[in-house]
Amino acid sequence: MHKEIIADYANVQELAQQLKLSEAAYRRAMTLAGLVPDQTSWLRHIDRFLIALGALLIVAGILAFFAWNWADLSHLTKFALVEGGIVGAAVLAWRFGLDTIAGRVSLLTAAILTGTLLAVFGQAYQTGADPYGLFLTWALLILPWAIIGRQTGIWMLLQILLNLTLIMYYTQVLYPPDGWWQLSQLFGPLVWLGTTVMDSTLASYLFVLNVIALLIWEFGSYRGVSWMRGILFPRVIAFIAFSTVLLPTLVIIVAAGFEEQIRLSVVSPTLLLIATGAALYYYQYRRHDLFILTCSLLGVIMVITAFFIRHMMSGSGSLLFLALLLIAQVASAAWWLRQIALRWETRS
Amino acid sequence: MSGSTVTLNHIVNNLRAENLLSTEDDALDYLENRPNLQPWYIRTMVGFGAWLASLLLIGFIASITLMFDGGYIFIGAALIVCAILVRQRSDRDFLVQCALASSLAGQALVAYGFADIAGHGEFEIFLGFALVISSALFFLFPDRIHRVIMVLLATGSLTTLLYHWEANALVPLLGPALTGILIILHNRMPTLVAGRHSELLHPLMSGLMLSAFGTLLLSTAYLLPELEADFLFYPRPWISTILLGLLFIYLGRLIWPIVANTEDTKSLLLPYGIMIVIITCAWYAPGLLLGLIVMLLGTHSGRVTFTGAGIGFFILFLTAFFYGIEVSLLTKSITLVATGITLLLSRWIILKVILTDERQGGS
Repeated sequence: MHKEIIADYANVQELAQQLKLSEAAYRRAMTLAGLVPDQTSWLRHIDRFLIALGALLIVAGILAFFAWNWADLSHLTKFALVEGGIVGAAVLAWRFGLDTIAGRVSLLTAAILTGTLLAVFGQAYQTGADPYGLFLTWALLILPWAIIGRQTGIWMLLQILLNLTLIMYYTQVLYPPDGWWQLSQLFGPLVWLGTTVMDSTLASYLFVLNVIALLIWEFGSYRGVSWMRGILFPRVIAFIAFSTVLLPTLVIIVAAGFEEQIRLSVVSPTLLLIATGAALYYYQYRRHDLFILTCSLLGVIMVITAFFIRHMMSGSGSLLFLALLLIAQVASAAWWLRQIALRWETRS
Repeated sequence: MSGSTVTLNHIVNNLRAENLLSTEDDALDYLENRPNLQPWYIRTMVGFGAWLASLLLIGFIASITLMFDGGYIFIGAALIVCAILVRQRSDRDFLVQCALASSLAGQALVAYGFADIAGHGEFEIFLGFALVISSALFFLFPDRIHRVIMVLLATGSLTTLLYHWEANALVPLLGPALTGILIILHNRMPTLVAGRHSELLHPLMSGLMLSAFGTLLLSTAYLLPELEADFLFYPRPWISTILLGLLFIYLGRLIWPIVANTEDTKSLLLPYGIMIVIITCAWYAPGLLLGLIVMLLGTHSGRVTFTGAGIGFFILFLTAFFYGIEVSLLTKSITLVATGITLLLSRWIILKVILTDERQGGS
């Protein structure tokens, strides 16, 4: 009895290489595997890709237009343009239906344009409100669409907005940044966002926020909610959750002594430990996901390596030791992941 | 078309039935003992680990005082040779990792050693050597991850050399050139696989794709005018747009005859016209065309990683393009909205007009 192996691209290439297939046999194998698109397949791809990419570019273009802040354009015209876009996109979503790709993209477009409307409002009336208010209001306004839309895209947007709200509230209301933190803003918003999670307390709040979202999603998936069965949302959220506690843990290990920041040092490493243990169990035995297992192991490797860098760096010999340690860890991780994949394959 | 339900057994059985397999025993044996392939994220982790370990190895060797001239070259070459021998003889994870890290460290040491001996123009020699050695090791070192890294190293060295020679004007040609090679390999894939070049082909294609991405991202990089007024990172990005546009149109022949179900040139004028409009709209943003090309190649070969990479690069380029200062926000806005509307119109035209014509022709 042979193993039942899915004929995806990588497996067919491996088959062709190992069995030394002729050109004709290779072409036939690709066709049999369904990897050569026919008319129906091309049309399906065109339908999906072009509508998603087209909508993405238009939304980005609208954002760029309002960021340009054309002074000659009256407030009324600006509002009319954005609100017209929102209403138009919502009507299209209704007309196409929320279960079609066109309907989903239209609703997501309306959700993104809602944020543009809030930004234009702030631009026009100089409300002076803190940015966290914009993100929170945006999240609250699109919540009904997220509930009725039943799609990953809007929930992902909502989760990003909640993360931004928390970061903005923490850094602009509770603990405004000082010292080198402010310097990081010079390197752009993405770098600045990355540096904010080096604050262990904020990172812990973000971790909790993302883990709650992940748990809700996994529960929905477990209960058989069809639109929650995708792998993208849990993977992205799990990655963010890991990163929020991994970065401060590495900073604590490498840059600060435990005795210097005792309150902060305990939180992130503890959460990281719990998250790693839980992920290694859940995604190995309950819901198979090699990607999240890989992320968990990568975190473990980084922590162990950072620990040895901090405590064993003396003389040139330590560099050789660290290199071998790193190689051993990565090789063990790759071997273990392969065993896991084999075990899943055998059981299925 | 869906590859999700078909199994390798099904394919092998069909090939046997159609007498397309030369040795049936080998096929049965392969299905029984097939090794488990690693997904891309595990390969990325392994590659990252090897790269980091190689840096530590370099640090270790560099910290040892070498008492004779050419010491770095000697140790570097020894590391590379050992790495190749180990990798040729073993598939064990630990040894594979050691070999990867040793090879990367060895290359850096040999390149530095040569530059050290030459004494002048060190940077040029370092890069030139990196280019040559990475090209040679692409063939010599039998490992997929290593081969991808070698392609990246070679193209990275070449790009840096162009800047070093102040040949910035050639940089916009690089991305389209790499993409052109990628398309040639894609077209010749069945022949190359049948010619037993599969082991080289796939890492080469992955490396070329990533290199093209990197090169096109340079078009969004900028230096503040106050810092370096005369330096142009990516002069005349429209050159890339034109060249990538030509490749994009060339790729149209993969889709349109199938979608429109005709080879008639007249009937295909409309879809090619749409492509030209997309190219014109994306004049300031050549990366958008590259994203579309890679998506197209991925879809055409059922290679999901390419399709995903194309989408990922499209979004990444869009973000980088948004933050660049070479073009005003108004121009960016017009570029993005116009390209977006063209894509939506293309979808409508393809799904409605072409199919309607076909139906009418059929009836």
